[in-house]
Amino acid sequence: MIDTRETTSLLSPELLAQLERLELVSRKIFRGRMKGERRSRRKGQSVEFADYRNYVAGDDLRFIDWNLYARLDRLFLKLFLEEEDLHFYTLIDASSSMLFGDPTKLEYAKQLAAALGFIGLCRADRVKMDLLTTSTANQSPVLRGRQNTWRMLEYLESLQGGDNVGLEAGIKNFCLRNSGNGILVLITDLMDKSGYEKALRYLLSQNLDIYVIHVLSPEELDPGISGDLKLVDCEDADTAEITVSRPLLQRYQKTLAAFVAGAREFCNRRGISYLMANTETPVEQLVSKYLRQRGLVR
Amino acid sequence: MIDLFTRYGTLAGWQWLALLSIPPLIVLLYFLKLKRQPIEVPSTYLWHKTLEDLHVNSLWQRLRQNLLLFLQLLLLLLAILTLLRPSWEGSKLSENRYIFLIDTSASMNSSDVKPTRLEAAKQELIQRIDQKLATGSLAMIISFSDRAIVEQPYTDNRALLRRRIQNIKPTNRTTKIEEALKVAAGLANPGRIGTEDQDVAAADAKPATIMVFSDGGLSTIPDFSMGNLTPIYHPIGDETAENIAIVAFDTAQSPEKPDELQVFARLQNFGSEDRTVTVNLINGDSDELLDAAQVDVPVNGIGGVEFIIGAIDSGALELSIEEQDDLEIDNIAYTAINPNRRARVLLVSPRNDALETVLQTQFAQKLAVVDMLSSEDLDRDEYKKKAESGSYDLIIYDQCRPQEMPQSNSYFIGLLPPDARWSAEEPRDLPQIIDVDQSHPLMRFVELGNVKYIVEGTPLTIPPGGSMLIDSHLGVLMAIAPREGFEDLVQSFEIVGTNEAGESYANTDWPIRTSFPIFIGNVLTYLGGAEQEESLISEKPGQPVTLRTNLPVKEIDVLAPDQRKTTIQRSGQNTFIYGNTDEIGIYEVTEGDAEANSQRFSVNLFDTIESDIRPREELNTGSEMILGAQSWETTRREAWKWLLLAGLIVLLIEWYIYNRRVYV
Repeated sequence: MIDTRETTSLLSPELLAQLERLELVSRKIFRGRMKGERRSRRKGQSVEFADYRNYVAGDDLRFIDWNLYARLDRLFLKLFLEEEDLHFYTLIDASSSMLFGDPTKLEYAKQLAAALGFIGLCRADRVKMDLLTTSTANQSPVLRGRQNTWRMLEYLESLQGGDNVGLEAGIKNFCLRNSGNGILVLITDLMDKSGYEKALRYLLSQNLDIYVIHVLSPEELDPGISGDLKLVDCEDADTAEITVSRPLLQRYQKTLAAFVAGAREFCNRRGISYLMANTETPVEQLVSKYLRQRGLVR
Repeated sequence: MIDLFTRYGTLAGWQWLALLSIPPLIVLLYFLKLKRQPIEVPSTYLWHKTLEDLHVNSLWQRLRQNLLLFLQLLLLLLAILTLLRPSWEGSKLSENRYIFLIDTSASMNSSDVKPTRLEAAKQELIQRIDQKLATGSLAMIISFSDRAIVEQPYTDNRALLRRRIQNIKPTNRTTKIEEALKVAAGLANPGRIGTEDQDVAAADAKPATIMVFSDGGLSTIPDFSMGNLTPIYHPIGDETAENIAIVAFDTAQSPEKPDELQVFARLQNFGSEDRTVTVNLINGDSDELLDAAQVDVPVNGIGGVEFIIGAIDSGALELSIEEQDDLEIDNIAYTAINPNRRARVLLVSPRNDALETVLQTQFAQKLAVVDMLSSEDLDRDEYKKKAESGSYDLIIYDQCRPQEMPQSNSYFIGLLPPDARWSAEEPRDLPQIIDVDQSHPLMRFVELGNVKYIVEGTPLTIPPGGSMLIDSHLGVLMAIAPREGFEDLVQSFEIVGTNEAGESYANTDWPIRTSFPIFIGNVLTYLGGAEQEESLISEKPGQPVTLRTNLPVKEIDVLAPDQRKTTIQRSGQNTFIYGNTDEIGIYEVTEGDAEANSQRFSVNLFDTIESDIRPREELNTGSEMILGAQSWETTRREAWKWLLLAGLIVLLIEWYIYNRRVYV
């Protein structure tokens, strides 16, 4: 059952149909809080057999394999793989810099978050959308189940940009409030003058399966500007005076490439999946192709 | 380094500084050139990172990116190098000697070249010394007008040369270059010493280059050879210079109407077109305008003007041209009118009708005041006092002689003076005149060929320093000799003789000849110091003036037109020599303690060569012509410099426009 409101600007019906067939994959197996649709490394109660072990006094008699006892006259305990739910966090950078581009990077980020969230909801995962913020107001709901799709979309729709919080401060705040394991998708443009490294290190300490989706607009990838300009930073009104020339643009491209490569390198070394997304790339293509290649969805 | 640039380049120090400030100015303009257009971006993070390494040496990075700027700077460098006029200094120049002759005569005051020709010449000379004089070269500076002044002997000290040139002052004098050339030639063309076998040079010849900075207004130089001197003439002045000059200004008493004074002036036009000018005649004492007239002066022609004014016993007249021209000092002329100065003469004679008659003619009365004494009066105190005090200009002793020589000129007739230097032979009969020294002022116009007889004469022995005036076949009959600032004229034959019976007789028929009153007139003029004319003394600037006083005084004061007062001591024979006549105008002479001035004299240019201020293209030294060398050189250099400067400005404008078009 698909709610009519699912067909918002964020998710098209075609995309929804495509997403229904996908599921979120974590390279790590985490202990969930509730029973879910995925196997846990923890042995527990489920239908999926995992192993046997010798009975020791005090074990639950209910799991003794009585058939085996009849054959071998020894007590073995049957172990089952426990099936658990998955914690899926989406962390969206909503600073002013995300409001650039057409569609804006924030819009793109919302779409991406909606798509991934929908996958999670379909698989009964625990889905939580968060903004990079230091305030405690406008806390996102924790959603589970496909029937909550509309709530997720509503929440995403309500998100406004312009909350200029540093990457580090926002992530620190997130880590303080959420201690669970799971998958974290950080959607940001990484444009933080104090650097993204420290912020990502906070996340690493959280035992999360981290995905960084680096959103960049075409204007940033290939600035079509010319002349003598005074560039004004929309976040801190910092200025940079430039005289646009071919060598300067070439140098900018080099810097950008170095920045992206640096971020990728940083993430790869620490087991963080990094994906650079151009906002011109359609979300469905990104999810079904690139994220699949990265192993976030299957 | 700076010396190198200023010495060999064509620009002065400040010009170099201005030029060198252009490249930094362009770079500055490059940075200041535009207002940047503000544009909002998501983050300047990447841009800052991009610019970060540029900032390390951003100036060079920016410069590297602008080919245009580089081309401009290159062009500028080339332009500066062009201005430097690169050249190589040959070894030949290093030992050179230069003599700079700079004309300071009146015509160099012309204002056709601003501020004056002399200033222009000085500036050009300084520029030349700064830029052209090679290291080690020696230069000498001589300024010349009617005399030459060595302003600076040979030196290689440029600062000293510059200072000396700055100190050269203009004069109102005429131009005579000979003296300057002779001074300059002194080292270059050493004299020769004749020995028994051969004649050799007194010193090694030092060849030199003479550079004459003048307008060329000088008379031809006779009898001068350049020898080892290489002359270069730099004409100073504008071809179009205009000048109208008063070349003569004079007064005369009208013979028919003694109460009128005629004033004449002559004007000459040295310009390029006919002109009519207004001349004003002004009474110099009261500054009252006496008369004015319009005078037509054709080109290269003369215009005359005559005024008739009431007789002035003594005073000063000033004539001025109202119109302006390029030379001012000849637009005004002065003349002084002095009361007649008459000689004071004492005749001591027993009786001499011929002499007395001549001395009483109107002509002689005009020249002299004659007192008469009889020969017996010679012993009286009155005579002695007057003779000793020098009250008379001339004392004539006829057939008598004093005990002592008087403090004045003397004329002895028939007897020798009481002076051991004079001696004579025995009286001889009928000497025949064979020679008269007509070159002496006393014998001027005196023709004695018609003197038929001299009854008796005594051949004279002339004392040292004296000279013969009349010679006869028997010996000298008349001679003149100096004595302590005075002169004694001795005539050894009497005019009127006295025979043994005490009767007087005519010793000669000279008194009835025309030559006798002329001779007496000469005596009164020469020995008595009388002035025949209306006593107009007009001297040229710088020329010494000989003054005589009416009263015997020890010193006189001369007040120059610029109110400078000079006291002069007597220089013998009641004359005073005043040499400080550089100013044009009226000079007033005050005798001794007298309060009012007793006489005046005027100093005027009155020199057609000086007034003709049109620059000459060549100098004529008699034996060779010195062609003007500098005119084409200057114009070429000036135009070239300014054109290049204009090119630079055009380039800057073009640069500006180019930038506007591209970025705005």
